[in-house]
Amino acid sequence: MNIIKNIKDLKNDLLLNKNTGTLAWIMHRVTGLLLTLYIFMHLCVLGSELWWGAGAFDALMGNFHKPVFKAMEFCLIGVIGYHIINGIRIILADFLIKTRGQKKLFWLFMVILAAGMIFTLIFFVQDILNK
Amino acid sequence: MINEEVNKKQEYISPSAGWRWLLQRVTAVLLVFGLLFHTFLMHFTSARMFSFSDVLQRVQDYLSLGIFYVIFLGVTLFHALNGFYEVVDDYSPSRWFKKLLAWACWLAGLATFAWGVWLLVWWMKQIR
Repeated sequence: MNIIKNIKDLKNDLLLNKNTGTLAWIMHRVTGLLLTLYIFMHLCVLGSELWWGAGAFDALMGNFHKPVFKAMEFCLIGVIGYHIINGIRIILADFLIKTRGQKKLFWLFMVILAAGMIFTLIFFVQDILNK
Repeated sequence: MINEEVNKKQEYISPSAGWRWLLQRVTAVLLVFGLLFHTFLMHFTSARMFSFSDVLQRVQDYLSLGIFYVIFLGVTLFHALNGFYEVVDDYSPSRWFKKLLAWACWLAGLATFAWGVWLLVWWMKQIR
């Protein structure tokens, strides 16, 4: 397995095969890998109250209301949102034979995702201002 | 990409590839609901409770939430690690690497799941 060659192949796939499906597939793959990394980080950080105790746990959770963490949280919601909404599209294509409309479905879902992200942004900005 | 060299080598395909494909879809559907619930609960509700005592209260007052999180953790770990395996599998590693990776994923997943369940029981036993 040659990692550098694989990365080049991935880049070539995207450049030579400029289809909505290729873009959706690569983004699904990248967000999936990011979420796999995130889930283990999430479990390690929040699962270690055992040896932190109440005081340290509360101090840590207090940090998560700071704007920089809110910005990271916003990115996380975006990554999760994309993976969920594109996952729904994959399942619709796999099981409900919606392959004909998968490109239109992708852009429709991206509009829904964008609307969701605007809502998230407004909610988070209000949250920061209220703290 | 069609790679003729790979075809000549007769690539090893895990015997569980078929049911894992289906399970990846089944867990995905469960995760759509589970993850939306978890995300809304933790990031969007106006009364978010994150302090140590709040978490303790939540865990001890709602057994159903604990049961949900045990299932959610198991489903998430399967989907994440199977997805990771599938990505690596796409780049045609050798037979022994695939087998080693499969064992490593199962080990990591089961250990993390056991830890999560143990942690939940620990929370439940704490005195408020």
